[in-house]
Amino acid sequence: MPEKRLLFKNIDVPGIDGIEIYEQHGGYQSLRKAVLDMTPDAVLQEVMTSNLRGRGGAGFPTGRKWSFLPKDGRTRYLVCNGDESEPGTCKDQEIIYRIPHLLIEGVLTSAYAIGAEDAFIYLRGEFKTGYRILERAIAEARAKGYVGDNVLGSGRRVEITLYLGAGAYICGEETALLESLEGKRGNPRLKPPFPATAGLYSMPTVVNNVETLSAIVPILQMGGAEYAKLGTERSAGTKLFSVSGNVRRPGNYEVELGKVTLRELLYDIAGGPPEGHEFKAAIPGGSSVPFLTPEKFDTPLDYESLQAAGTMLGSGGVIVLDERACIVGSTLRLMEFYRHESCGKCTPCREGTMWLNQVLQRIESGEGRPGDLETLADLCSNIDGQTFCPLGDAAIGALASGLRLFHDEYEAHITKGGCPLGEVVR
Amino acid sequence: MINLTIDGREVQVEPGTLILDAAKQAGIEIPVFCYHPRMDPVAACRMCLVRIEKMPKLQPACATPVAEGMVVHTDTDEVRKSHAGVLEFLLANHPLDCPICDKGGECELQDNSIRYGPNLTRFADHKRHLDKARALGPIVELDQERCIQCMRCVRFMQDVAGDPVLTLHDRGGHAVVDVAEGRTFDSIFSGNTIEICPVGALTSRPFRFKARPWDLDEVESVCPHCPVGCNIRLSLRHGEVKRILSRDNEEIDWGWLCDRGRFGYGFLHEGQRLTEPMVRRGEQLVAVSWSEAIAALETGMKGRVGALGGGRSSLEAQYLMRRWMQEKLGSQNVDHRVLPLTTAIAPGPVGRIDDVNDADLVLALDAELIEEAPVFGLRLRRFERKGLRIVSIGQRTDLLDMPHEDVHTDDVAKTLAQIAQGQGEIGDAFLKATKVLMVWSGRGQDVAAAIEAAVKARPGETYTMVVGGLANSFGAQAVGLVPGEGGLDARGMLEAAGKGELDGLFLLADDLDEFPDHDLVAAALNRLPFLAVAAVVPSALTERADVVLPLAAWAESDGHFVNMEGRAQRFYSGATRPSGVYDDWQIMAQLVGVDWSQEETEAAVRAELPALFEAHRREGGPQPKGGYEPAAHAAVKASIYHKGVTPDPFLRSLVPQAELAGRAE
Amino acid sequence: MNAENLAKAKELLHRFPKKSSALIPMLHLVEDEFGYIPEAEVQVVADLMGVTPAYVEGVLTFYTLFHRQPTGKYLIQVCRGLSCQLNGADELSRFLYDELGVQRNGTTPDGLFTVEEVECIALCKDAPAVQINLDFYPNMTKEQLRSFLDKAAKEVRSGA
Ligand SMILES: Cc1cc2nc3c(=O)[nH]c(=O)nc-3n(C[C@H](O)[C@H](O)[C@H](O)COP(=O)(O)O)c2cc1C
Ligand code: SF4
Ligand code: FES
Repeated sequence: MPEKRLLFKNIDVPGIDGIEIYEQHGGYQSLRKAVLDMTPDAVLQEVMTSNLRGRGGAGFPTGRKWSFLPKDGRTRYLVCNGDESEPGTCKDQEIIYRIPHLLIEGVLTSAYAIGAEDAFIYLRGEFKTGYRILERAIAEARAKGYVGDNVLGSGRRVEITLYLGAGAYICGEETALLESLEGKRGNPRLKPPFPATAGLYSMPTVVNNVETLSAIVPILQMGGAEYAKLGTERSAGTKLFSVSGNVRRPGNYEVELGKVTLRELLYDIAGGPPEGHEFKAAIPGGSSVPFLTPEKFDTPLDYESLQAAGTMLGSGGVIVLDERACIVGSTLRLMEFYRHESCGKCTPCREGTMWLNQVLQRIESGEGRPGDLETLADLCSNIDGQTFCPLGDAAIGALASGLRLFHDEYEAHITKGGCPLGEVVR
Repeated sequence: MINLTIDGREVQVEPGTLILDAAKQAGIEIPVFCYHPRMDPVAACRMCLVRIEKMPKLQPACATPVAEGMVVHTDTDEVRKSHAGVLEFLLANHPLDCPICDKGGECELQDNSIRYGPNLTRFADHKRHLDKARALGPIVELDQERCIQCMRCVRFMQDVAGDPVLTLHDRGGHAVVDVAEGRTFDSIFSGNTIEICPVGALTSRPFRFKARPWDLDEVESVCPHCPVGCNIRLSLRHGEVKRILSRDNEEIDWGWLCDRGRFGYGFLHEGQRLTEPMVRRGEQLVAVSWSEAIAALETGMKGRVGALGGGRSSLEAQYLMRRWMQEKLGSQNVDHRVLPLTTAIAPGPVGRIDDVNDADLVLALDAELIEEAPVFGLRLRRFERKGLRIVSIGQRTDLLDMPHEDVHTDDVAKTLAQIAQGQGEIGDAFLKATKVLMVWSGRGQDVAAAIEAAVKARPGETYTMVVGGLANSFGAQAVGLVPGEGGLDARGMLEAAGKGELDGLFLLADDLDEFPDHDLVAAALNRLPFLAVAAVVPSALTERADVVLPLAAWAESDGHFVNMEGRAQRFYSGATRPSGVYDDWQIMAQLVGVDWSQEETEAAVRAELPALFEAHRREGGPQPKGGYEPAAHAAVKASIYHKGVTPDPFLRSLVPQAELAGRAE
Repeated sequence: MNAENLAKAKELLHRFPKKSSALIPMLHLVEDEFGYIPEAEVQVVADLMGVTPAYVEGVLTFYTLFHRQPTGKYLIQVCRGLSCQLNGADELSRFLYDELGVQRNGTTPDGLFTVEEVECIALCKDAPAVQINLDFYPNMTKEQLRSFLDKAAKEVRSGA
C-alpha cells in the first residue's frame, strides 16, 4: 500500500507556497464552501462525521473537542499548536514551510466553525523562518479577503495572530502553550478547567495541532463521510508519519491509517535500513512512546493496533534504529532531552528525570552498579501516572520498554563496564 | 451536602470541598507540600496523591473536589508507595543539613519523611549544588539547596501580595527561587514567605540561629501596630520574644502578617527601656519609688488638667483613664486623637473585614492601605481578583498596588456626596450595589458627614471602617477617651497649654510627635507647668516630663485591643518585663483607686460596652469557617504564661493596705 | 533597545487581546538586537510591560532561546536529537569545537561564533541538522560547516 496523499497532494507543485498557485490547485475552496454555503454547525457536523482525531499526539476526536465549547456568548479562541518539539517529529514543519496556505485555510475554516474571531498560531521559537513564511501567506490571504474583518464578504471576522515561542518542548502541551501565549513561563495548568471552558485569557478555547487543522481542508472538500471511509473505523483518514534515524529514505509520508504496517512504511516507503544493516527497534510515535522490536513491525499503523502492540501512535514520529545503535545510549539521549525539557513544576518529573539521567549516564559510561536496573525500573514506576502532566509519562516511555525489551544490553553495560557495541551512539 | 467514603469512613461535606479537607474533617491526614489553605491549589508537588475508585490514575487530594458517591483510598500500598516515591525524589537532591537548619522541628519535609518516607534512599549520585545561606534582603535568607519548589513563596508574592519580586529562575531541575539580578527582596509582606516555606529554604534573618523551635514557648497575642488587629503568637525563649508568627484568623488576617507586625518587636529587648518611675527634681529626672511617683503625679495633676493618648493602650487602661479623668480629676479634657484623626469609629454601621468577601463595591476614602492597614489590603486584593470593584477617592492613592479605579480629588466629602446622589457611573454603581463597604482614613468632619449621608442614600447594606487609627483607637473612642461636655480635644488642650491655660497634662503611651502641628506642640510643652508621661521607651517627651511612669510593653502585659471593625481581642503577657514596669491598666487602676485584676477590669469594661465583646455583632453576618492549623506548627501554648508571670499589681506591695481601703469606691 | 525596536515593542503592547502576551515577542526583539538579554534591558522590558524585573527574569530564563550571556554573531546550534545523533550529530559538534577552539556553549574570542548543542529542532528527516541564527541547515556535513565558517569569517573581515 503506497502513500495516500490528501494534505501532501500538491506539496511538490512548484510555487505552492504562493497563494496563486495554491488557489489554482483548489486552494481556499473549502473555506469558500464553509463560509458561503454552510453554517458553522454544519461544518462542525462534517468534522464530527469525518471521525478525525487530533494529530498532535493524544488522538482526541476533533469534532467532539469543538463541541465542548460552552454556548454562553463569551469570546472564543482557536489556537493552532505549531510547537512541534517531539523528537522524531517534523511533519508540521513541512506543512508550515512548504504549504503554508493549507494550514491557513484550515485555521480560517475551523475558526469559522467554532465561532472564533481570533485564531492564534503558536510556533516553536526555532520556526522563525516558518513565522515569516506564514506572515507572508497571511498577508496574501488578507489581500484576497480570506482573513480580516469581513471574510469573503460574509460579514464574519477572522483574524490570525502568529506567536513565536522561545525554546521549550513543554509548550507543546496545550495548557503550557496557553501560558506561554499569555507571556508567562510555560508551565502546564491545572485541569479542570479545560481549555474548552477556560483557555486563552480564561476564555473558551480550542487547541489543535497543525496537521489536525490542515486536515479540515480535505475533509470539507471531500465531505466528512468520504473522509471517514479512509483508514479504519476508529482511526479514520490519513496521517503524516515522519520517518527518521537509521533509514535509507527518511521523510514525511502520508498514509491511510491502519492500511499500512510499520514494516511497509519502513521498508516499502522509506527504503529500509541503510545498506548492509538491519533494523533493531523503532519508536513509532515520537520519542515518548515505548519501543517496538522488528517482530512487531507488522502492526498496522493506527491508534488501536499500535496500542495493542504495547506502544502508541502519538505524533507519528517514527525513529528507527539499526543494529549499530546502542539502546542504553539512545535511552540516555532521550532521558537527557526530558530532563532538559521538564518544566520542573512537579516533583516526580523534575527530580525523576534528573535521577534517571544520572544513573543511565553512569551505566552508559561503564560505571553501572548492581541494582541500578532495578532502581531504574522502580523509579519509572514512581513517575508513571503520577506527574502533573503527561511529560513525565513521556519521559519514561522508551526507557521503561527498553529495560524490558533489551534488558541484556543494559546488563551487559554494567557487567562489561561499557557498551558492548563499541562507540556507536555517543 | 455530598456523601463520600474515605478509607471506609462515610463523610458528609459541602459541595466544592477538596478531598484533602474532607479527609481532614474525617480525621484523616493527607500529606502535602505545595498546598496552602490560603492560596489556590496547584497540585504540583504530588505529595497528596490518593486513589479514587473509577479514576485511571492517582489524583491530587489538594485539588480534586469531592463528588457524590466518591470512594477514596489514602492508605493503600499503591498510595503509600507514591508517598514514599515523592519523598525519595525530594530528598534525592536535598542537602540534609537538618542539624543546622532553623526549620528543624517544624519542617514539613522532616515531618512527612518520618510518617510517609522511605527508610533509605537509593540515590547515590551527585546532588545539585546551589546557593546556600544568601541574604535576599534584611529579613529573608535563602538556601536554594533546601528548596523543594513548592512555589508557595512565589505564589504568595504573585497572587496574594500582588508584587512578584520572587520568581523561579530557569526551569526543570535547574530551577531556583530568587529575586531579580541585583535586587533585594523588597516587600512589606516578605516575612510571610518565611512562615509558609515548608522547609528551611527561606528563613528569618532576625531569628537565625536564635533558638530551636521545640525550645520555644508560645503565647497568643494581637499585633499592636495597626487597627487591623492581626492575630499573632509570640515565640519566647527565656521570656524573650524571639519571633512572631501568625495565628490564622479566618475573619481577620487569613494567616498573613506584614513585616511591621512580624518584626516590630525589637524595642522589647534591644535598645533602651524605661524601667524606673522618675520625678523631676530641678533640672534632673531622678528615679523614685512607685509611691513617690504616683504621689508626684497626683500633686501635679491639679487644677485645669487634661489627658491625651491611649490609642496603643489596652482597652482596660483606656477605660480606667477616662474614669480617672472624669471621676477623680473632674476634667472633661480627654482625647485619644493625637494622630490626625477625626474619629476612629465610622459614622453609620461599622463594617467588618469579612464584608469584603461579599461586597460588590469598595470605596476607599482618602485611604492609604499599605501604610494604614496592610493585611486588610491583602483581603481586598484577593477579592479584587475575583471581580470586586474598588474605587479610591482622594489624593492618597497607594492602595497596595492592587488594580483599582482612582478618582483624584481634594474634596473627598464633595465627591462622595456626588456619588451618593447617583452622579456618574460610579454613583450609579454605588446606588445599585447590594453591599458597599467604605474604608476611610478617619480624617475630616466633612467626610464623616458625607459618609453618614451616603449610608442613608443607599437602600442596601452599607458599612464603613476607619483604617487610619492605631491598634486600639477604636477602643479608646468606644470607652470615651474623647472630650466630655465642654471638654477640650487634643488641639484644644495643646492650645490652652500654649496660652498658659492648662496646669497639667497626662500622656498615655503616645508621642506628641505624631500630632501634625509641631509648632503648637512646642509652644504647649514650653508653657506647660506639669507634664506626666507613661511610656515604654524613653523619648524627647519623657525627658521633658515632670513625672515618668514606665510601662510594660504589650507583649509583657494583658488586655484587649479593639480593631477597626470593633472587635475586642485579648492579648496575653508572655515576655518577661523589666522589673519595675507595670501594665498600663495597673497604673491607671492605681490612679482611679481600685484594686482590680485584669479580669475584674475587663468585667467592668464588658459591663459598660458589651457589644465590643460579642463575637458576631451583626445578625446574619458571615460565620467563621473554622480556622486551619498548619501541620508543622506546634499547637499554641497560650495563656499558661500570663497567669504565672504576671506580677501582683504593684499597689499591693507598694501601697499600705490601709490607704488602699480608704480609696476604694 | 534601539529606537526602532522600542517603537516595535510599544506596538506589541496593543497587538494581543491582553498586554501580557507582548512579553515574549518583546524579549525576542531584545535577543535579536543584542544577541542576548542584557540586565539593563530586563528593566526596560519590565517597565514597558508594567511588571517587576523578577517576573521578566522568571519568564526569560524558562526559555532556552533567550540568553543571559552575549552570544557570537553566528549562533550555531547543532541538533542533538536522537535522529540527528544516529546520523552523526556528535561528529559535527566535535568538529566545531576543534575547529573553533571553543567548548560547549562557548563563544570564539572574536565574538563571531557560539556553538551550542540543542534538543530536537524538528528536522529529523534531514538529520544531521544544524541551525545558524535560527536558519535551518539540513543534512549537514563537516565540509559544509567548514565552508560556512570560512565564508562567514571572510565576510566579517572584509566588512570590517
Ligand atoms: C509534553 C507534551 C508535548 C506536546 N507537544 C505537542 C506538540 O508539539 N504539538 C502538538 O500539536 N501537540 C503536542 N502535545 C499535545 C497537546 O497537548 C494537545 O493535545 C494537542 O495540541 C491537541 O491538538 P489535537 O487534538 O489536534 O491533537 C503535547 C502534549 C504533551 C503532554
Ligand atoms: S523556597 Fe520554600 S516556599 Fe519557596 S518554592 Fe522553595 S520550598 Fe517552596
Ligand atoms: S499538596 Fe497536593 S500536589 Fe502538592
